[in-house]
Amino acid sequence: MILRNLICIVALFGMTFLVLPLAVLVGASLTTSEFLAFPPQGLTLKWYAVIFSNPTYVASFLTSTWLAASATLIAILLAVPAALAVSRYDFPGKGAFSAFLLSPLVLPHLVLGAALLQFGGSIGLTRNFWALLVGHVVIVTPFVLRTVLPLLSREQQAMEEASRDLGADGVTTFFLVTLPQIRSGLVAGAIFAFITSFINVELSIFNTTAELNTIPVQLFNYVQYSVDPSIAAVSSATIVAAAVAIILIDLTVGLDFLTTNDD
Amino acid sequence: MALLSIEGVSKSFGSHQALKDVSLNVEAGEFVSLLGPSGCGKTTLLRLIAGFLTADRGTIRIDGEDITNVPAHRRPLNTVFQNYALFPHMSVQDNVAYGPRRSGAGRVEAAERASEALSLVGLGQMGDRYPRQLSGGQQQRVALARAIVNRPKLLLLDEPLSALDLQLRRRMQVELKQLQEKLGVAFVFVTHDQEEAMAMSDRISVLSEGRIQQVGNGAEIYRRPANRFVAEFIGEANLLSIDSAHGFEIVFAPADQSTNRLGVVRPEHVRILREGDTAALSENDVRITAEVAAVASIGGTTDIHCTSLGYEIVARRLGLSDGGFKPGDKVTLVIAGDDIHIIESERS
Ligand SMILES: Nc1ncnc2c1ncn2[C@@H]1O[C@H](COP(=O)(O)OP(=O)(O)OP(=O)(O)O)[C@@H](O)[C@H]1O
Ligand SMILES: [Mg+2]
Repeated sequence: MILRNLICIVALFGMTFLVLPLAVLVGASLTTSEFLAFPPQGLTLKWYAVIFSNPTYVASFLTSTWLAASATLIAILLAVPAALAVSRYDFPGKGAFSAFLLSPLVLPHLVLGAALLQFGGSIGLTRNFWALLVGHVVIVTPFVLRTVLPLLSREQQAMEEASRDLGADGVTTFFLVTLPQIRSGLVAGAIFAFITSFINVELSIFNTTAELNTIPVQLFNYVQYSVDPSIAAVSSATIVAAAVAIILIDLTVGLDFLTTNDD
Repeated sequence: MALLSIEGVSKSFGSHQALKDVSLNVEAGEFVSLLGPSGCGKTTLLRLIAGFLTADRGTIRIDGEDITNVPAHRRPLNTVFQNYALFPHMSVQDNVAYGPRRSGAGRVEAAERASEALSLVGLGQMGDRYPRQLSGGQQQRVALARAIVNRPKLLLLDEPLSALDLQLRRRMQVELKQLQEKLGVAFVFVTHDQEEAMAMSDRISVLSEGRIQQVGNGAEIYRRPANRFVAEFIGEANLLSIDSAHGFEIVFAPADQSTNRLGVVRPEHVRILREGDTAALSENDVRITAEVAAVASIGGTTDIHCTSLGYEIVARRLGLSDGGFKPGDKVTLVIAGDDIHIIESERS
């Protein structure tokens, strides 16, 4: 009993610690003052008006969203076959192959960004959307791979065999058995991938320009010269967008698997 | 023509040869067990038949048609998997309807056939549940229903009962056998439980180290094991080196002296008499003088362990009575000549 209460208290404390900065951020975005202030002095939405009427912010917000969505989609298309290959087949260099696929998880993004810029420079792929996309695909693919691989277990393979045994060819088996089985991993991996791409600064910074910018790089550049409540408004808008996205995912595919593990 | 005919099939994993030149025929409607110790290649053979593995050498035919290189989903047979491999994201009904759907049946027809198969295994009411909401025994039945719904002529089963407790297992053995006979489907049934194999099979194929050691019905394999492995693996056996044998005049050699023939004697075929008690001896009996070493009662039988010529010879008596035999007693062991099965001794 005491232990349970203790756990509750610790959990509440942890939640508060995580949520408080967000509350501060949202609060600060509503201030009427010309500087960041918490608690807000008066309530206004003018800073939101400022950013949404600023075409560079809107453009970078769209760039970031489009970039993160494309990178996530490509990551899924790459990671699923790769995961199937790694878990189903023995081939020479398999260990090295999976280590290679997961290596962006341990490489500093700044190093990766510099390397990609060098390489991109030599083939003329720099400072455009495609250059950004290539880098982001590299860093987010491991997330999808990581969440899908554990679901391709021995038991899961037996189900695929059962499907073939019952007369389903490879493609049918993939869509009717494999995909539903790895769905939870795909969704979790996709969320991680999207967020990782959306908030990335270190990698993007090498390939962004004044015309083509992502939201985090834009903010990063902005706060170097001035700090006013508009950056809090940008961050809050991002938080709200993220919350909406999560709720939409929950309503469509469901997120129960993140908290329960009974199937 | 045999329903299933396997000829000279070999399969290696890397340097490990899992199956060596295996040949086996299964007739239509026949129940054949693959019996052998862990790692002997039973699952490998089953997976080769199902098409999940391809043989390095040899051919597999069904109804005379060579299916060695036909992919699994086009083979006219079905499998009951060891851990059932039910689809957890589908209801029981959808699990069973999966087969008919894939073979072109419409939604309604598939559902009808699924319900029919489910009631065949006694699960008519469970269609709406999900596999995780069923007990192990019920999941087992769903796996069975799913495998028979397309009415295959050949069903492969990999230790289908091994996850069930003893009582349920006995009941399922009977039900499975009844279902097999009712549907007239041939079973290739993997087990490492010899009692199960004996109780259910028309024929048993004993495997060891990737080779088929012997194929025959339970009585044949028990009474006339082909070699030392089968003799020791099936039931219990006293193995005695044979010095000379002329008809039923058999002389055993001492244990430390190996000869090229072995006598296989089942414990229940060894009669035990007090020394000097010659009352009920017949002409064909072989007599051995021995000394009682230990007496053990297990279940409904009593084993009397005796030593003679350096062997430990077990005599089994029905019932719990030890007949008054005590360790140290001098006794005569009597074995009827035709209860001694002679095999070549390849080992030693
Ligand atoms: N995919 C594989 N890769 C490498 N070796 C394998 C593979 N599958 C089986 N083997 C080996 O082949 C041998 C036979 O395996 P198999 O699974 O057929 O045995 P089994 O008779 O079914 O045993 P059990 O009763 O334990 O299920 C074993 O030594 C096993 O280690
Ligand atoms: Mg096995």
